[in-house]
Amino acid sequence: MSKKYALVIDLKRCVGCRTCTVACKMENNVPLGISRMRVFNNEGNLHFDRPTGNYPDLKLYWTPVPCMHCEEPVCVKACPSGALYKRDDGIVYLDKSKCVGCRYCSWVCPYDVPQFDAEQGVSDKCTLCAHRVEKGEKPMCVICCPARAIYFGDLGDPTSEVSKLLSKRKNKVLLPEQGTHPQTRYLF
Amino acid sequence: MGDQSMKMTRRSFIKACAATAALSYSASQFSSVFEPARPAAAADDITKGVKLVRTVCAPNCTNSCGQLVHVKDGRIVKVEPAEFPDPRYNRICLKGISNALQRTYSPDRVKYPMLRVGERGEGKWKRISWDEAYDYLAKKIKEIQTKYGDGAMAWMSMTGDYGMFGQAISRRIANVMKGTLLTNLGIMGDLACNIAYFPATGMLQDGHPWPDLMNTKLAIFFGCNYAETSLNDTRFIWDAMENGMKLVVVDPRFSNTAAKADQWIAIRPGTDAALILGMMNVILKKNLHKPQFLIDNTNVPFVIRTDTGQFLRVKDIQGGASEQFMVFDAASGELRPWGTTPHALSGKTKVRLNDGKEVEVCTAWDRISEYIAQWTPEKASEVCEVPADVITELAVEYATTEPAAIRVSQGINRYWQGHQGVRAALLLGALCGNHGKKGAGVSWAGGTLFKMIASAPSCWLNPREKEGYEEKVVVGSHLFELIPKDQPWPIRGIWFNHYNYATQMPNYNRFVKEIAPKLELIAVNEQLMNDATTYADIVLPACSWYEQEAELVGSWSNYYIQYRHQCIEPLWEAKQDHTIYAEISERMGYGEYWGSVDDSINEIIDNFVEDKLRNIDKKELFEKGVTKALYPDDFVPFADQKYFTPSGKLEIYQEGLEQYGEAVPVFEEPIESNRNPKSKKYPLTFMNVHSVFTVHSQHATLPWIKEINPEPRVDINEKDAEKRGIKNGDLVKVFNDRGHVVLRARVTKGIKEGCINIYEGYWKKQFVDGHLAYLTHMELNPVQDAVMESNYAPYDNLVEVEKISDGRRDK
Repeated sequence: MSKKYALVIDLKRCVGCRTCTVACKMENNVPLGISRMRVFNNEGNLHFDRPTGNYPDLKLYWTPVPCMHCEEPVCVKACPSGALYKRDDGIVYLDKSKCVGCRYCSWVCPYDVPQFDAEQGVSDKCTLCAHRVEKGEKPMCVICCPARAIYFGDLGDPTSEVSKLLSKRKNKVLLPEQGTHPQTRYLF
Repeated sequence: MGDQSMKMTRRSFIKACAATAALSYSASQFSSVFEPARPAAAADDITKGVKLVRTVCAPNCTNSCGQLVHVKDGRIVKVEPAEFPDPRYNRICLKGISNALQRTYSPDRVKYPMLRVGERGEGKWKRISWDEAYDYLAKKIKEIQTKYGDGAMAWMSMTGDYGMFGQAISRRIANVMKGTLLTNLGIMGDLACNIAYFPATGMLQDGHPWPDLMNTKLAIFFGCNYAETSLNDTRFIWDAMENGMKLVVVDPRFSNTAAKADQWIAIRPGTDAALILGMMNVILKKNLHKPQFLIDNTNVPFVIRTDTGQFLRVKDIQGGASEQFMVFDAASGELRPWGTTPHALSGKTKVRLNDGKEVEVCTAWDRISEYIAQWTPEKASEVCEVPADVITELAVEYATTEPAAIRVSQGINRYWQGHQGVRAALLLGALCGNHGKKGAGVSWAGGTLFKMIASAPSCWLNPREKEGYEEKVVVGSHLFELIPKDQPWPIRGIWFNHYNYATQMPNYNRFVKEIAPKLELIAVNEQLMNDATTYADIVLPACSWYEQEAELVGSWSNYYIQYRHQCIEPLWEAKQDHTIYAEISERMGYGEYWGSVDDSINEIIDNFVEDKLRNIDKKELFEKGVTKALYPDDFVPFADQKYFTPSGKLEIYQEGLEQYGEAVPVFEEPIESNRNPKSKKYPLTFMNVHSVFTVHSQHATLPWIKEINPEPRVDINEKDAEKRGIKNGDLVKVFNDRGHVVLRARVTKGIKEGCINIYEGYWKKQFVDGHLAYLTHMELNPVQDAVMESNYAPYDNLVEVEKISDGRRDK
């Protein structure tokens, strides 16, 4: 049976430190100015976090946003060069060597995940650290997360840690109405 | 934690995307001067030909994460969390990653010894050789010591590298050179917790290991923003919360830690002692306390004279020399020497002293409980601005939940009377019998690091010990009082290491105006050309920790000791501080005292005063890079109820502080409280807390850090902002009589009215004008000096804020 690798992110544990952002940049050689793992605060911003609500009942929380690795990835449909494709293991992979830099993927992705790598003139996005996963390692954001808020595993395997967490805890996907069926899940 | 509903819409993503675009604009300025961290190649190619070295990151966040460093062609290409015997400590963070890849290779690195050629502060430098540097330094030091005495040359370390050398090397070089050590604990601003902890427990600091929170049902954090400041320890807090622990955070700011808590108690800055006194008032009135714990394990049953506040001793009434304390016999209520009979908590009588004078005596507890009785929740509420019913509920919850833990940290210690909150917390813990109990306790900070420093052998610290040489020590926090007046002896040269004093010291303007002109030599060991180098006469290139030959590192997080292995050759002409001091010692004719890095590490370990450190597995330490100090896994401080105090008990009552009115744990207003008359002119308490983005000034300017935290902001409550016509993002000036800083405002609900905050650590160039180090004072505190030394009070400074202009500044 084919795998369905995914990240499951626990919003109760995330402390908004952005280590995932930085760890990903190191691991994947992501240029300055773009990011494969953005951490949005409750105001939808990437920095200068501020609580919302009415004093003293305030809320301050963060949503790390990697690629959603959708089951119905609209970026793959939109990609004219075949650089983007859905792999058997569930990863929506971007082969940067085949990318022509048309940016259709950025246009169609409801999550604005693909970003433009101006240095190379091509798109850039989270590959779930496919190069690590293939060697049996976890994605870099997972092993570096100080709060241990990011889990990695096979959603297709009911005995995996991620499947068990999803069966135990309240969880959701981002923008379900878009119909892309994200594999990235959020515990809350 | 509530429902963290994600109302993320396409629109908010586009908004965020716009923010990213702005980010790319600001970040692009680096690309011309900053080499990419890694060559542009597919990630999997990078792994070929890579050497892996385990080393230790230790920038004074106190976590001391092990790093597995990937080195290719002599260059660091990646770092990962290194392995610990307990994998829960395999960890890393944004700062450790950025440090390895970007600080090490920063264009700001000090590459060669640099000699000032213009005026001080002008920024004109000449590259010189190490030989020339040592010639210059040796000549200067000799001149100064000949003219003004040996002690006129001083050394000072701070926390820029939180290993043994980083902490203790100034003391050693000062002794080898017969110079002066300027102490750092007070001016660091971290000492008030210790000033409370040390006389009470006999330990400078201790705390329950983090995993002990799994035994805790209720935790109250006073001034602890671990989610930013001790980031990698927070997993234990979230584990405990998943295990059902309730978390209450007391903080004037809705910190990232408060955001995760079950309850946030917004307190007026510097008034934690008042809140705690109010809690104790409730506990006593409701009779929820544990008198037997106080009787058995503290010094409060000891009898004091009401006229002097001093303990009554056997010798005072029976003659002779016995210093033994007196107590009231539990059954008869008669006075008896302590230890001869079961004793009572309370009692009152009159006694005739040897000199015939009749005095009234009672127990210390009687005096303490009388003081607590004044602190009704209503009175406490009036002071700390926490509603009285919240104080009452918290008190009852703490007293009736078992086990309940208290943690105190730097947030409450950075006021002028910052020790008071910690003393009150220690008493609260005792009142409820929580010291030395699993899942409970009043934790300040545990781990190996401070135990190692306290246990460092004098033979290593003072290599002239054998000659009977006495160390010359001057209290660092007194430098503004002493150096301009040539007290206690003239100081004409300071050699700093591990210390960006220009952004981190109090009232930096005073250093520039009153101290620097006195100094004929300011030498600085630094990794980066930061603000510490501005006024220096000579700057020496210091190794990053990846380049160091070796170092011994403890941590506040756990009971491991780590050995820092060298990962790469020193870059450019950088040298390890240990080597710099070895070579200058040699040049001055004192080479025999110094020795190699290896010699030092072995000498320290072999002679640690504490046997749990001395008897560690050295082979494992050197080979694996990590070994455990010999504390049990389930270590609980004071579990045997033995305290390292003169009485062996938890010494809540401090007779030595009676002359300052603080024998009893008391509350007094902060020196620049926002109710002080001075607040009419400067109404806002200025805090400058640590952020998750940098440890002091070390990471603040690194490109990856600037991407996620582009510039400093002053946090101001929306009501305070409205009064001043300030909107989010406006350019504002924060000022008082001491100085000013100009930056943008973050208008927020997340800070209490009447106080503002600027994250510390930014460099001068990151502000539009001025710096937050110009706003703070170093007023000495006689109580703290009586116990140890005055503590810098960075959060106890009044300021005003005014708007300068609207909107974003043009680049």
